Amino acid sequence: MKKLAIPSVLFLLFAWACYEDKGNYDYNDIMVNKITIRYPVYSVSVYLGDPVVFTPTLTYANKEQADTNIYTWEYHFNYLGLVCTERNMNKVFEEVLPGRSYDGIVIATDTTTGAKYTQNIGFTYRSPYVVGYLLLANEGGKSKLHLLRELNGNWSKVEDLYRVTNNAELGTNPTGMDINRRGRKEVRVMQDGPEGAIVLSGDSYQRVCTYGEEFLGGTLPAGFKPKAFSGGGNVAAMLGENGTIYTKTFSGVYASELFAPVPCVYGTTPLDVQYLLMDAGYMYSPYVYDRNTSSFYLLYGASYYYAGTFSPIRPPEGWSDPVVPPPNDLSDYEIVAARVKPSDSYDVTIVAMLKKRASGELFVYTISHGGSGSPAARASTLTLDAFTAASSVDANTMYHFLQTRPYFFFTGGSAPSKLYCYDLRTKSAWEFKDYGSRILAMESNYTNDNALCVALENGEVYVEDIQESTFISGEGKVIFNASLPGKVVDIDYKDY
Amino acid sequence: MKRYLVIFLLTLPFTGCETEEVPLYNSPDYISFAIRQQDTVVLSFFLLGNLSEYDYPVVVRYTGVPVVEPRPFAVSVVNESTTMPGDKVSLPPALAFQPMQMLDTFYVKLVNFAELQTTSKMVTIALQENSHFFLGDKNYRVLHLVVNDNVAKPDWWNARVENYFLGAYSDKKFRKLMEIVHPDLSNTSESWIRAWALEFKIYLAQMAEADTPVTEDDGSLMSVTVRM
Repeated sequence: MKKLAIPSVLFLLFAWACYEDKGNYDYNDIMVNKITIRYPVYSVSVYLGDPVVFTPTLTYANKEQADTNIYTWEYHFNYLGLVCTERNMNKVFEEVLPGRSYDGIVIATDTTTGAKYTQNIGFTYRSPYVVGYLLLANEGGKSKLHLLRELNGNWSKVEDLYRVTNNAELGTNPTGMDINRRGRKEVRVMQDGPEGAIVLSGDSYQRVCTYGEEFLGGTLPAGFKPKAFSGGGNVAAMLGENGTIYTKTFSGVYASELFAPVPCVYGTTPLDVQYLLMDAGYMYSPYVYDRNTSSFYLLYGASYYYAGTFSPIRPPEGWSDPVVPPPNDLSDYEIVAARVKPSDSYDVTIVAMLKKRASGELFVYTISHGGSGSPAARASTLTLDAFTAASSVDANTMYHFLQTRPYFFFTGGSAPSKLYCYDLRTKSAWEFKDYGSRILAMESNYTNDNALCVALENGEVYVEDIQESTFISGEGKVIFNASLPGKVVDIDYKDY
Repeated sequence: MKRYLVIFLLTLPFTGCETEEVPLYNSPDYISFAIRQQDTVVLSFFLLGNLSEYDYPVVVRYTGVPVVEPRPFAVSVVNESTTMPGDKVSLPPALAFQPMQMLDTFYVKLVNFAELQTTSKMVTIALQENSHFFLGDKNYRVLHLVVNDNVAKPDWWNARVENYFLGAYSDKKFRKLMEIVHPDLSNTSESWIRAWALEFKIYLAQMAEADTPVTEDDGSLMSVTVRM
């Protein structure tokens, strides 16, 4: 037996050479059906309740072999997982958070080769009424809120937003509006009607409370009619039409405390506040201008320890300029308009239009202030320049200072349908547009200051492109135009 | 025997026809205070709002069957254990328990006087039995009131209140605050304390401007820390 074993093994080894290998040793390109997945927009914003739509277009590397049916599709998103296996995704998500960015990836798998092709995509759900120009209008005595909004480059309007969200009337006889960008991020509507001034949620526009309920005792102080509101880091202020101002301090949480029904004074002098300045969402401390003392004040709110302190803004150390007045003694001037332009939470430039009492001359006055954020901080620089377009304005002129750019807009005096723009650097003005109807209100998108919303007496509303390129070209560009019912009383820009 | 058993069984059902009168509740009527004798009540005219006189509410409890007519009850000052001068405490001339009620309230009038700032006085009142009421639980027949006009640092005047609103505590400052601002001490939230402090700050500034500054006992200017 052993004699046969070795020859048998040897035979098999030799016979192995006769085996015909029928394997395929050619190189086949699995990327033969390579595609590139493209979308018009890779990261889209969608209003809550609307579908998220992704419709890809495919670019084929090998057009001869283009076959759209050989791919399987998968859409994966953070927090959500696999949500779609169709090529075109069109899906409404219920359990999503407004404002959260849902990053994802789409994967197309070639079923003939197994090759996978991917593209990064994403979407963000927005509350439908959170961002845009909010316009408060008087329609036959009734208060109406309208919204002009933009999404993915498309503008639209929402009329009577309060009825849309609450199916009820907002109130009557509107007088003004403020947005509290700190704390509850709310919309505050002032009205002369029996409903009074009310506070609305900035998301849902549900009624939060009345102005009176924000005071100790639950009602507004006797004779107090709200005119303006500002909320800072640790202080909030409410200004009345009679110049009285009330404050509350809080340790970071706006809603934790109530307003003290004690009118603010400086020393023993009652304040007669003309302007309560705080337009951006990032400042800690509002500023005020008081007519009784002809002085600008910082209402400190950067820390709780000093919150509520009114500090007159003093000129720079050793200031002795005979022409430029100090901000704590402007008794030779009336303040025609004022606005604060913040560059960060502490540092601001206050821009004011001053009218010299003796001569009636108009000046553009600026105060740079802030730095350390201390209540005792002095102004760092002061400037006073003659307003070169004084002949175009009168007592009824409206001014709108851009917060982040060196321009301001103003309406014509004898021609209230005309809108002018003034360059603070060149100290020159030009006519921006003649609308043919009286301008009632205007507001810019303060975060970029590249668009201006203008409301007219004839019910038309324009969103104007005010980018530098538009100024240079000299040709106005309307981003959006709409007609709204009622007369616009106030405009605010909402950015959250 | 069987016959007797049948007769007995036949008579048994008739026992169910017997009627019995249900006796009504007819307890005597008792009266007592709502506060136990051992729970002495301390009253400070100062903490009540710097008052010159005060009507202290005394709650009395009735035990018994409610009746539709008001019924007189009697209370007296126990002179043996009362140190408050007779002209500084008085009871209503006539007292009647309200009909169909189990609780009622009457008021003891107390009058503030200078000595109360340095000493406390005791007032003891006791219920008296009369033809309408027996005296109730023995622990609830007598009420002790300790009356003074004392001032003391309240719990809410803490370090935070010192730092942000009212500054360092002094009896004189507290008295002045009560006199000028009349705060309702039942609500001592920070919002209220800030409001009191703002009002007080303005008052102090006005006094200083009028050359009548308010000072502490050591002669220093009275001040508060609230910012304005």
